[in-house]
Amino acid sequence: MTTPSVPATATDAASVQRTGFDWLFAISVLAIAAALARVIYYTPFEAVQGPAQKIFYLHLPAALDAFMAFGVVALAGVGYLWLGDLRLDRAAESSAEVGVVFTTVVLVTGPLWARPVWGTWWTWDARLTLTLFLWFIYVGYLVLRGAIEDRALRARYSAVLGILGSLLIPFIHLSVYLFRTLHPRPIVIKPSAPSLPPEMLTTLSISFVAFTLFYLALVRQRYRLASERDLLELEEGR
Amino acid sequence: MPHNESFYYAAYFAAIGIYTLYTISVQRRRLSVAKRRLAIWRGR
Repeated sequence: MTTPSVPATATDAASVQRTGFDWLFAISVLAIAAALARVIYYTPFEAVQGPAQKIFYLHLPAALDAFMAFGVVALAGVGYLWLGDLRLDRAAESSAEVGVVFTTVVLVTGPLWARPVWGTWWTWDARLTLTLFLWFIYVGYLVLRGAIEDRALRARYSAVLGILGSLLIPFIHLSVYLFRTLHPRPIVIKPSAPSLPPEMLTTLSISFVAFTLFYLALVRQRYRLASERDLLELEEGR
Repeated sequence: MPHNESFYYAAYFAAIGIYTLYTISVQRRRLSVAKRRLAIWRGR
């Protein structure tokens, strides 16, 4: 993928934007294609749920990457409040937006899996409701960023919200233990060994690696957009 | 349980659609910022 190129200005050393073919993006797309081929052609149907269970290879990696994305937002937020480095704020902004995209995928694929298996699109149980709240918090984070003109204030306020929002993640993970829910308990990320047949676990691992690469590629692209926007603000004298 | 195959396809199309639209959105915004920066640079 080629990216737009503009001449660098002397206002900011970070203005030198790398352009040209994005290898990370290309590799991540190829990895996703390989993962999908394995899901479709080389992974057996689950005996009870049938084809709908294959949504799992999309749903779980999206959820894990979303949690990772919001974890990065929190860490970058702590880093920004400590060091005051705008690069950390750009990283937080980028990771938050990509995290919202991954959470959207979780919230879309979840009901499409729930309908044939549970008999309902949605239920207001703890896991689902808290995940929806997490999505609202980070959509709010993005709206907050758009509403504050002052660059330093925007970074400071959003760092605080980004950190507080991430506190929901452990509750979401533990919600299936703490409350009675329809959502199954973890079958991979748990203290004991994963309860998946080896061929399904391999497919899940490949899919997770592929979508994590895609997350990194998207964050890198989004970070470049954030840097270019900061430069534009400088150049426009705002 | 072949009747639920449509949900499996729908989930994959939806997810790939969301990821694709987001990728296009980032590229379009980068292009828009690049055009505005180019206009400023040409005006100097």
